[in-house]
Amino acid sequence: MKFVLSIVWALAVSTECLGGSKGEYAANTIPEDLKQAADAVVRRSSTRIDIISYSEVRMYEKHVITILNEKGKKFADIIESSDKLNEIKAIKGRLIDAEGNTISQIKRNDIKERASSGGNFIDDNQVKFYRFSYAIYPFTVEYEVERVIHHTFGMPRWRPVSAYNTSVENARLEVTYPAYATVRYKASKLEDPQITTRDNVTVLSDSVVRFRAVPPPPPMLPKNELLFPQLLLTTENFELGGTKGSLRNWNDFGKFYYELNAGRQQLPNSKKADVHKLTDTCGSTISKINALYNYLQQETRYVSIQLGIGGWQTAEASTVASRGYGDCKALSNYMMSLLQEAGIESHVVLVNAGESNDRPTLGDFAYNAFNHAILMVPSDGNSIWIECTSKNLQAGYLSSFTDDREVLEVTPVGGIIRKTPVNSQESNTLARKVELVETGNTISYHITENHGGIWWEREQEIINESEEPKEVYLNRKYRIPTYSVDSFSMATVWRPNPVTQEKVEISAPAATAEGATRQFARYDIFRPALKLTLQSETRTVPFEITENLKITDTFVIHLSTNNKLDKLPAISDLKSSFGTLKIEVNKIDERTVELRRYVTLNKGVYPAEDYAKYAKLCNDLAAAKNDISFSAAK
Amino acid sequence: MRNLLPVIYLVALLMSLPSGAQQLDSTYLTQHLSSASYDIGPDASAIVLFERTEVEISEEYAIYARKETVHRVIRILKSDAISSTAGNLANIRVFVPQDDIHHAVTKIKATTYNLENGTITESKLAAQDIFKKNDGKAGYEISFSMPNAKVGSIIEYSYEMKAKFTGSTETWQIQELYPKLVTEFQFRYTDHFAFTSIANVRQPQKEFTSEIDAAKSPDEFCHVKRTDRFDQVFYSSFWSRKNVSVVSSEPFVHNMNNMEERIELQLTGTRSAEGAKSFNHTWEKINKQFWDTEGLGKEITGNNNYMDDVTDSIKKLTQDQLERAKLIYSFVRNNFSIDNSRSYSSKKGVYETFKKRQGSKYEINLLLTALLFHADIDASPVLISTTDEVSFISSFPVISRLNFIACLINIDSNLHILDATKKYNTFGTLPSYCYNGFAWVLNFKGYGIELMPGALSEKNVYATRIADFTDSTASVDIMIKPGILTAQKLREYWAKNENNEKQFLEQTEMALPAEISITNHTILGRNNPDTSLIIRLTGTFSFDSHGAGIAIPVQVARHFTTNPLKAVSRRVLPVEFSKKDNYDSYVTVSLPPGMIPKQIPQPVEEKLRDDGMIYRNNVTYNPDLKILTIAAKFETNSVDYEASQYDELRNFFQKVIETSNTSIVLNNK
Repeated sequence: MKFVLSIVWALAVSTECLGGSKGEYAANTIPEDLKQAADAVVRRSSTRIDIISYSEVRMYEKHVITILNEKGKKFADIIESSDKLNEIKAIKGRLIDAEGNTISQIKRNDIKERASSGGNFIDDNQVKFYRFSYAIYPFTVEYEVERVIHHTFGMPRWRPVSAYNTSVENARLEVTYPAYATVRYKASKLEDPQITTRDNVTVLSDSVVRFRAVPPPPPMLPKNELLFPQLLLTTENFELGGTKGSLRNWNDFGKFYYELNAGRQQLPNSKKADVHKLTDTCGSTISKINALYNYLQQETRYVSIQLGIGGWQTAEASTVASRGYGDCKALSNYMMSLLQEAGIESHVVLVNAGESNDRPTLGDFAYNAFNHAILMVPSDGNSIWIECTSKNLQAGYLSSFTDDREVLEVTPVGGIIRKTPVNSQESNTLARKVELVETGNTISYHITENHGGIWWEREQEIINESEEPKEVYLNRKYRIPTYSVDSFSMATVWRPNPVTQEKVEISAPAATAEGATRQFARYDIFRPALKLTLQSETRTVPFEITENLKITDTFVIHLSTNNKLDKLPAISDLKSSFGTLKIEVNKIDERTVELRRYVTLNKGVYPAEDYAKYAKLCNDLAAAKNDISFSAAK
Repeated sequence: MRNLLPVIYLVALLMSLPSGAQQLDSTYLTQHLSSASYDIGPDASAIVLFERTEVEISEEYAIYARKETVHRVIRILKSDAISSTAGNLANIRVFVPQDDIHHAVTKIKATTYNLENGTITESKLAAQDIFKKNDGKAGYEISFSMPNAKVGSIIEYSYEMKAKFTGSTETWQIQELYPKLVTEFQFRYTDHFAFTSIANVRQPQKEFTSEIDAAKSPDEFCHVKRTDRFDQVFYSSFWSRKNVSVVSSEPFVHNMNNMEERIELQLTGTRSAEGAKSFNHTWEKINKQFWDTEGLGKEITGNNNYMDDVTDSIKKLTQDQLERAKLIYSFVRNNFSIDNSRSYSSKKGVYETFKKRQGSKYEINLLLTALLFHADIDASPVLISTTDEVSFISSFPVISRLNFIACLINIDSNLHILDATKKYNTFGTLPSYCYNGFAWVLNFKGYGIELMPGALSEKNVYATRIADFTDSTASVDIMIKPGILTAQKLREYWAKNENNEKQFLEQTEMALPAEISITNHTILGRNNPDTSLIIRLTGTFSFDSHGAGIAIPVQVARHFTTNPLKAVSRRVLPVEFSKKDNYDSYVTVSLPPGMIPKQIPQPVEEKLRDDGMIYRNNVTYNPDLKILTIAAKFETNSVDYEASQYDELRNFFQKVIETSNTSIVLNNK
């Protein structure tokens, strides 16, 4: 019966598609309010998910989208990805002109299929794509996609609005599932779905009607400030590659992962011997961890292999030992095995890794929220976190890829929500000193820079380069119109977090004024450390500072005996809840001045009205106009 | 006797194998596993110790077959050689194009050698660690990761791939990401074929009679040519290149592809029972191939009555051929879209392109050519290799380099070259990547033209007016008019993301002298590529009237805010600018009463040798009108310079910047 229903629905969609009445999607029938700020209007979107069993889900989608201008052209591309657990059965579609007349239909052979790496070295991802190429706006594309998903772990989330500047006239979701199943949901910016029963199946439905286009958000939007409606769905029990599990809560999620990966920690004897050789004489747990982490970094490398259930099930530790490579799960599992051999308990931790704005709060709705695995050695006071895919980090330090977010620790008794460490201002400190020495027409700059924490992450790539690329980089780095690097040194030290130490000597000409003896020199030679924000916008939504940051800059200006300073740079003292900026100027004598600049930023979400102050701080810090002038001493 | 021949041949072949192709013995492995660095790349992250590629083209049952055998031995010296996404030497991918019968990768072998406590260990690739992934109809990919590869390892792998021979060119890429101690290439083909080789190698080629002799020779570029007569006649060419360094990318190189050593072999003939055919070996043959065989001539010069509506309406609008051409160009540029197709010939035909209002970039420009021709304008397609490819050469048409088709029109003996594939392109100017040397104009006869970067000339204008002085401020009005190519790039960049325009304005304002703050901006011609792009900034110029006078910058909006040529320890490649960059800058100051320039500086002129680039700066003051004018002019006459001129060029730019960063001081009388 369930199949019959699905087929009827699919047939209905197809009939509608092929026989859509002439003029039905004429562009002039779009309500005016939906055209405002819109590049495209979703005229109609139907998504139906039929959960046949825990190992079979059928999904049908039909989308009709009118593209109003060139910026909405991305909607003319159908890009559908698939893998062995998520198959595409059919794609159909047609192109409709502004009057609603069908111009062309997609032919089966027009749909291209290619392998898609998804950033992995080895996986089974494929992508089917088709582009409706048309340039007379407005026009409408209509297409439908039919899929079979062979698991219920990680149900598709429903996002009826998928982009900024996009309105939705009518979007509908229907999920059917057998009476024995329970579907949990979490609605955001959306009414809770209705739940009814029909022909022995439960039906969950939701809709969005007349959603007006939202312009792109201003920068620094808080991470949890969701602007579009979204419905997260999950079945309480699920099946993945023949393995059953539960998503009732995070504890169950952790249990599933633990059991799926249990018994895969067996090391070959040679590796066990290596562990003991490295750790038996170590006096402390941390020294054992450091020795084994160093061993992991030397002996293995990260290779992403995601095939079927292998996306969640780790390779055996013995396999990593023999191959010398593995993905994040496999390397974490291998490191856990090494630690276990050394008598140290550790747990795999599942994390949603990525840029600073992708840090979800896990809350009480358990779902498939992770894309990465790391390791943790639990301790009452100070757990030690280990990123097993890195060749550069040290144990105990997490970069912005995984720091400061809720994660799931996988333990023998289930999953436990933990929080990864937040890097402090002291860790994320950028400390620089420039001594500017004027000698006639030449200015010499003696520069020392220490980049800690997140600043180190931005600089470390160049640190690992050989001398020639470093020199090229340094010859472009500073905001001086023309200069040359005379000498340099660059290195990373750990104390205990990473810091790059740079020493650079450069020389440059001073700019002179014709008809006078006045000269100019740039003392703040650094590019703005904080990204400039647009002053013209009036902020209406809160903003978020995602990292604790500290910058301390010192500029010491020494003029030759022939010259004296004309005018001292301006001082500044700006304090706010989000941070501070202080510029101090200390005139030592007629020819020497010391300028100190302190900036701190406190991680957090701040009200929209504070944004102007933040913009001022960034602009005051922007160094472009920080020249000094000097002229001949009388 | 005939059966013995292959055996004799095999013995001869085995005997002729060069030493590098032998099994890696422990002496060889120990020597290289112990080497800390190599002279050919002291800083290199990896060294290719030995590399041999053999390609054989033959005919089997009327199908052209291609067999490729690859053997590589590589020493890993730094972690980025096996960890970076691009160029990860330990992750091997082999793409196998799909065909009906041939495609296969076999004989995959891979071993990693490590030196552990003085002992050489071997890690062999297991069969289950070789993965296959389909790539649609195109074919499939075989991938494997080298076991236990780490810093210090030697990795060795080999495979054999068979596929249908569908292309027309084989390329041996000699210079790649990592230095090579020895790289060898053997190319064999039966007498069903004729191939022509085109070499870009900086060493003289020395001829040898055997591969062993070539391998033993200290000569760095060796060649062995041989003909083997068995069941079939095989022609064979073997090249060996030793001590190959890497060409590092340097700024101001027009086309890095031209700098890398390679040998290309192009199919230029076939022989069958029906007789011998030769093709693709002259530009005239290429012209015939495209114009007649592939039917482009007919597509362009045919009846094409379906175009009447468009061309007739345009003809009615104007009799002037140039105006007509501009209207047709705008029609195509504004109403046709590009699809995914990468075909360089007209796959769907001009009619289909016209009807569907879409096509590949080639089809769009062919349609443009056909429409112009239909409107009685002398129009021809132009075959181009852009800077994404090695430049075409006039002496031989390497057709695999073809990756673009433009349109050339001739009106009253004035040539105009057109590309209607991008919304912000302008009539008469191709994108700068099309200026890549030789190009071929296709028509019933055909001829070559040169599209050199020096033919591109950009004129940028910066005009600033400072007036309305108070005690501490004056008004500033800045007009920036970028050249055509810059305007085209800006329009494209701004169209991508609405924040891009704001960022551009912010950066432009940031680059102004410290005393100037901008309060308003206007952009004229933002979306219309047929007009000039004009950026106007207005604001305030602040000064301290109690100080040592008012310093007026010689240039306010500066073309060069920093020296484009950065300091370098050494320059290897010639310095090539992508266009003739020119600018005019005017700063006009209406002086307040009682204020005069303290001193009018002498005119400045900076020149490169042979007047390759010239900078002039002239200050004039009209005391009656109280107007101070600072005029600066930058002219490029030559875009190509020797590497040895780098410092001279850098110093020239340094002087230009120093001069444009100076100021004129105004004082009270």
